[in-house]
Amino acid sequence: MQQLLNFLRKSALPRLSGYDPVIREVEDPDHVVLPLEYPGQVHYFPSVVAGDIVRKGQSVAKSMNGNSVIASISGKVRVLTSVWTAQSVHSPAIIIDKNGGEPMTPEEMFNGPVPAGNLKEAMMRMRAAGVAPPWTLSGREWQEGGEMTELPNIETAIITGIRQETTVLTSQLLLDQQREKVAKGLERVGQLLPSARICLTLPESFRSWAESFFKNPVELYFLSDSYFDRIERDVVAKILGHRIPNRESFRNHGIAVLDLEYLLAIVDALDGKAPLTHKCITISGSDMAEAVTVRFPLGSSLKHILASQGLEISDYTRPLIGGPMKGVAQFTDHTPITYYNGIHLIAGETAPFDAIAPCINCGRCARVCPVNIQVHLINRMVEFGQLDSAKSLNPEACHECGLCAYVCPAQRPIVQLLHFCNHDMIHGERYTWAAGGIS
Amino acid sequence: MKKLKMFDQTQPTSTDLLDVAVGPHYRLGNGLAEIYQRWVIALAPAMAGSFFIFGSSVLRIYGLCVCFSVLFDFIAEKCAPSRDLTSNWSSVSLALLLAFMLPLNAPWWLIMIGCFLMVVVGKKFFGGVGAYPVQPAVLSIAVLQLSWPARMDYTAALKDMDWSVTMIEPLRLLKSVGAEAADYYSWYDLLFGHQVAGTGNGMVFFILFGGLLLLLMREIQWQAPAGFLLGIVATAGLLHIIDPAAFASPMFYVLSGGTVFMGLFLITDHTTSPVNKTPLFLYGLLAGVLLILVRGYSKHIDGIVYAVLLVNLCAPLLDMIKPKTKGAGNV
Repeated sequence: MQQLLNFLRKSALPRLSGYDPVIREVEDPDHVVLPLEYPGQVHYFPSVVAGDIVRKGQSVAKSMNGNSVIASISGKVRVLTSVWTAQSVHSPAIIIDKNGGEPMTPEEMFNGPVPAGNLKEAMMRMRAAGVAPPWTLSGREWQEGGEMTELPNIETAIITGIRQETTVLTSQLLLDQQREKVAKGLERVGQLLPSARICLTLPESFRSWAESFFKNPVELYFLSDSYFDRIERDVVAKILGHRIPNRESFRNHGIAVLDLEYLLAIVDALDGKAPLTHKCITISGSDMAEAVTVRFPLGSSLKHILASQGLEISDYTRPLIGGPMKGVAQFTDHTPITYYNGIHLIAGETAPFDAIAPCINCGRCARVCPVNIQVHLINRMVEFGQLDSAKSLNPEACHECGLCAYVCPAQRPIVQLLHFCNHDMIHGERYTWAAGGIS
Repeated sequence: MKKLKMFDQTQPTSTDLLDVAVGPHYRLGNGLAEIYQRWVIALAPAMAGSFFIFGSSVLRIYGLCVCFSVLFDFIAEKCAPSRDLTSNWSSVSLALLLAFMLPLNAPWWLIMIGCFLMVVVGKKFFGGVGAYPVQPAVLSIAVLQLSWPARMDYTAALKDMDWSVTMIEPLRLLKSVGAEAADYYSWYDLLFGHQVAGTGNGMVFFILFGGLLLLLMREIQWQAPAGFLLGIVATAGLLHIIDPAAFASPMFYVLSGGTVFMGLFLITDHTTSPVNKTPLFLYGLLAGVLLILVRGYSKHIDGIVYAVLLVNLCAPLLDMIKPKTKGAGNV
């Protein structure tokens, strides 16, 4: 019955009317900013000082166990400073000014391909190439003075050929255009992790060719175009058959979730061809005729990427890093872009939310919630300061997919209220035991 | 506008600045006004039906109700600013629900008192839209029925009507003559509004159509009306089998009085009904059972008012039945 009634459902999310399947190259900018710290992730220590000349492909920072940050252009290190990153945190960063120097050749960096199946060797190569292999990262690697946590063996590796946000096309374009390489990459991962399940998520529209193309033992999971079906935490739960508590990282349960783009980068690294210096990102917008996907040097500014496609930041009121549902709006176009997959530009007057609208208990939020949180109760409890009552309703299961606020007829800031509740919980209790912060 | 502690918004100093916000950056929701406008649209078929059946005199009831409600809402907002703005149309939709339950000959002062009780006492005193514990229109009707029983008499209101049907409330006749009362009415008349009832709540067919609109607009969930119907059919059927002389068939209970109006418009009110599917079904079921019990074993003729008030009070308890949250724990 519910599905029968779905036909009257409207959608406010902009449908991608069209997209350019060609991935365009972005020229090197005159400087790049390489942040060295990401929330809940690896912390890097610079191995260069201001004034050093670096070459494209050279490692400029290393983590405690050897993961590298690679210079994405050749140039001179201007300064080691602190920047404001796209996720709204301060981070130490290296700024490199372009000098047009020669990039490092693969022969200088690597000594040929890594022999197949040699996990230890492969791991060292991936670390050196700046492809942070997810099966080495605990997410809390940088705990001060701490020992490395023992992590369980990988039992499931999930490669995401389709991303959560509907406007992000990087993975599916690469999957479509570099099928052979993806198949090769899946094979390599299978050799490195012989006992693990290898799963690949991909768009429903690829079913016609993908089912015969990818051989066993790769498991294929076709996802529809709707945002609801693509929420990563749910997709992983569906593949596993059970759910990982929301606040725990997948890696602590023997699961590696890896973007397809990194799979391709791993293939390059293992073959000794190239380190990770470039990344793809999809630029879409509320009034753009078609979305474009570009490949840019890591650490380019938002301004540089937009300018390369002839876009002006002043035409827009809200540039988002990420997608329309979970993206973070930037207050400046100097933000360095690193591992993000999408830029979404919103023009004109936008109504984010109605700050004073009362909740009328219509229950749309609770019905749409993919993890069955009692959103209609929690958001009012938080609003009126009853945090203790709110905590008893498991708000920590929220992964802020944004659907509750999306459907709220009163336009209440529901995600922010839940976030506030979780933030209070984290800083009241959890912060004390998780020395490295949260992931 | 009253300043709220939690959302102390600062206005941007320059419009050139980029807009900083967290997702989602698009909204399906368009403000509360849209929600209550949908309820008004869903009530429109029954309003049209009552207009064709009773003539232009219904316009007086609808007009006065809406005017008084909006006026009281506006005055209350001026006296005590709250987040329940007059512009959210909730007082209009409530006013129409109230008007549906008023008799056709209600004097202007009765309507005014009714609107005051509904908007100021029933809604504003409890914190405005979204905060009231019982449906304000029903609360208001309950007070009016207790205070001016003669003025709220549907049968007296329609004594001048010249229809070819029995001009007495079906349920009142049922009380006095027992189950054979059902023989005095044809189901056709009951369904298409030729029965003695309030201004709009007897328009069974038109209300069904409006309810279908609400369901299709996904404004209400099907569980509550379905549970309600099941509750009525089960309870009335059982009582009919036990005591066929006193209790009519379930069909008669469904078609007469404001039963359908209650099932589709009164118990489904967002604020006073539970949210999750199972509680919603139980809530409907309970409402159906209570309605038949009130009709059968109390002195009230059409027990919708008391059934709604009682079941509204059960909603917070029922809301404690909740689905298991996935991925919880580890805090």
